[in-house]
Amino acid sequence: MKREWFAPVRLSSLFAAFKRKPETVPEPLAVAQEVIDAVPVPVFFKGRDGRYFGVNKAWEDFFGIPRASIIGKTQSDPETDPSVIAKHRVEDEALWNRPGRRTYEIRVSTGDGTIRDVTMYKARFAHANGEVAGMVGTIVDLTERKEAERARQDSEARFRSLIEHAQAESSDTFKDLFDDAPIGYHELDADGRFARVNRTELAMLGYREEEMVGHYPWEFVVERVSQDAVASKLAGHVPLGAFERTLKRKDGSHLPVLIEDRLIRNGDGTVRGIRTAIVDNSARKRAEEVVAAANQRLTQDVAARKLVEARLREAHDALSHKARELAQSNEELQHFAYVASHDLQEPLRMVSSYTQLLERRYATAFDGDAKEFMAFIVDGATRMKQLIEDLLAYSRVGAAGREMQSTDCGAALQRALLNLRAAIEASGATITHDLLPTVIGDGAQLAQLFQNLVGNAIKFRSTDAPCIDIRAHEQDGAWVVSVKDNGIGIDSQYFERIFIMFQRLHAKTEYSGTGIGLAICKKIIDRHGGRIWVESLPGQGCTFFFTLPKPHEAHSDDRMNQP
Amino acid sequence: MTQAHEAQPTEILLVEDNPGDVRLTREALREGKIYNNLHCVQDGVEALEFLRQQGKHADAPRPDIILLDLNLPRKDGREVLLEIKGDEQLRPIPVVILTTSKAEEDVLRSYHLHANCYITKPVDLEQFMAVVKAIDTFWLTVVTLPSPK
Repeated sequence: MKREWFAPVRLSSLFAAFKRKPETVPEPLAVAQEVIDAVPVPVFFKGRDGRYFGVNKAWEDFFGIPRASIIGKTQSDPETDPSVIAKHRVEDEALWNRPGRRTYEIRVSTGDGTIRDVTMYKARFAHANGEVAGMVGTIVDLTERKEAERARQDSEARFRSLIEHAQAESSDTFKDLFDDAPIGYHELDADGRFARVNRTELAMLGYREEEMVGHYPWEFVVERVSQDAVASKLAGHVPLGAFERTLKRKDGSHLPVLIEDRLIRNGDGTVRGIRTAIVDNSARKRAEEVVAAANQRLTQDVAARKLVEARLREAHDALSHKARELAQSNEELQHFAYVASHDLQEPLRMVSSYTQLLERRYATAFDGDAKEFMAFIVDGATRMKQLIEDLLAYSRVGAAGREMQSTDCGAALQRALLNLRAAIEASGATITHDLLPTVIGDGAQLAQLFQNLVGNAIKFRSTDAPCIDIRAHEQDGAWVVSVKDNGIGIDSQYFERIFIMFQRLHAKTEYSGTGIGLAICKKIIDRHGGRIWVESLPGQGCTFFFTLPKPHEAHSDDRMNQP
Repeated sequence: MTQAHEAQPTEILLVEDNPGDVRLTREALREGKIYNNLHCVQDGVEALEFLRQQGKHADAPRPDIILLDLNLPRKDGREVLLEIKGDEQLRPIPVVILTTSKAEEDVLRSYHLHANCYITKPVDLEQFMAVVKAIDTFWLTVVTLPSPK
C-alpha cells in the first residue's frame, strides 16, 4: 500500500519551507520528523549558515538538549570545548568547499556530562539549482568500542609485561636449576666448545668454570675419542644417546660417568649446540665390580663344592660297596653258622648216641679202660655240642636279633633268673636288684645278657655262697647297669681279654665253659649302642657294668619298674 | 586209647635220610610198649609217593603219624609239610617235626605250615630215647586221632 506523504521528500524543499516560515513546521516536515525520530542514532540538519534546523530524538537524548533550544543556533552552542568547536568548524568548512562526505572521530560532551568518543558522519545537500543548501549528519558513539580497545591494549601491555617478567624470572630459575642440578650439565656451542658448565659438573671434576669454557670436551676424556665426534654430533651425523666415559679430574684421578647428549636448537631449527647431562657412575661401577667379584667367588665356591660333592659321592659309593660286601659276608656267616649248628651236630649226635648205645647194650663186655675211653668220647661230643650252640648264639646276636623296642630290663632279668633257677638253687645264691629302667632294646638279648652275667657270677663263686646285686643309675644321659658279685674276682690284666671269644682264664676241669659267654654279652651291648666293662679286685668279687642309651621321649618315672 | 589201636599195629612213617637216626628211632620204638609198623623213606619225594600210594608204595598203608625231618634230599621237609597240610586227604595225619635244628626260624616256619609239634633231637641217647617214647605215648596213646578210614 503506497501512501502519498511517504513519497521521497527532497531535503532542499523541506529547507525551503522552513526558510519561508521558520516558526511553523510544514506538514511534510512534521512527517519527516517522525521518521528521523525513529532512527536510533543521533541525526541533525544544518543550514549553509551553520545553524541547526533539525535534530532527531536520539540527538536530543544524546546531548540532553531539547530540539526547540537548538533550532536556529550554530553548532557551537551545545559545545563548550574550544578544540572540539574548532575541529567541527574545520571539517564543516572542508565539506562546504568540496562535495561529498566527511567522516571524523572526535570526543564530545554529552547532556549527562560524560565525554564520548564518536564518529561524525556529515554530508552536504544542495538546492535544485545546485547551490549548497546545508548538511545532514549522524553521530555514532564509539565510546564502548574505544574502551574495549583500550582495555585490550592495557591487557596486552600487562600480559607483555608479565611475560617479560616471567621470562626474566624463568631465566634466573633456569640458571639455578642448571647450576644446582644434582647431575653435571654443560652446553657446547656450535663449534663444539664448552659454552657453560654447571656447578655440579665443576665440583665433580674439580675445575673452575673458566678452565673448561672454551675448551673441547675430548680434552677431559680418558678414552681416546675422535676430535670429529662432536662436529659429527652437531651436524646430526651420529645419533645422540647415553654412553659411558671416564673423565679426567683436575687432580688427575679418573671419574667414570654416564653421559647423555641432546642437541639444542635455535627458534628457526638450526643447531645451536649440545646440552650434555653427566651422572657420576663410580658407585655403580664399584657395585658392578663387587658383584663381579662376588660372582667369581661364587663360581669358585660352586666349583669347589662340586669337587667336594664328587669326592663325597665317590666315598659314598665306596662305602655302599663295602656295606654291600659286609651285608653279603654277614649273610654268608649266618648261613655258615646255621649249617654248622645243624650239619655239625648230626654226626656229633651219632658219635655220642651210638657210644651210649654201645655202653647200654654191651656194658658187661667192656673192661674199665674201654668204659673210660667211651666216657671221653661222650664228654667230647657233649662239649663239642655246647661249643657249637654257643657259637650259634654268638652269630645270631648280630643278624637274627629282634627289632629294637621299648623293653623292660626288669622283665629281662626275671626271665634270666628263671632260666638259671636250677643253678641258683644249687649254689644257694642270693640275688638282689634295683628298680631297672625301660630301654629301647631287644628283650631276648637283654635276658641272654643278664643270664650270662648272673650265670658267670654263680659259676665263678668263691667258697662263700654267691651274693649278686644288680643296680642301675643314670650317668651322662645313659643308663648304667651293674652286676656285682662276691666271687673269685678277675685280675685287672684280663679285663680286656675276657670279652674276646674263646678266651678262658681257667682250666676246663675247674670251671666248665666255652669262653663265648662274655663275647656274646659284648656283642649284645655293641648292638644296643652301649659299653661293657668290668671292675674287680682279686678275691673281692667283680662288678660288670654296661650302659644302655636312654629313650628320648619317655618320662623318667616311666622308665623304672618294680623289681 | 581206642579199641582199634590195641587190635592192630600203629603205622608210623619216618621221613629221615640219616640211617643212624633211623636206626636210633627204631631202637627207641623197640624199647617202647607200642606195637607198631615203622615205615622209612629217605627223601621228601618218596614221602609224598608213600602217602599218596604211588609207584612202589602203591600198597602202602595210611600212616597214623608222620615223623618228618626238615633237611632232606630232593624235596625238603618244609615242602613236604606244605603239601601234606594243603591236601585234604592227608591234612588230618599228625606231623611231628623231628630235626637237629634249634633255629628259631625253623620252629616258627614249621608251626606256620601247621606242623602238629616240633622236636629238636637231643644229643644224649637217654634223652633221645625218652623223646621217642614220649611221642609214642602222647600221639599214639594219649590223644584221640581221627579214624583213619
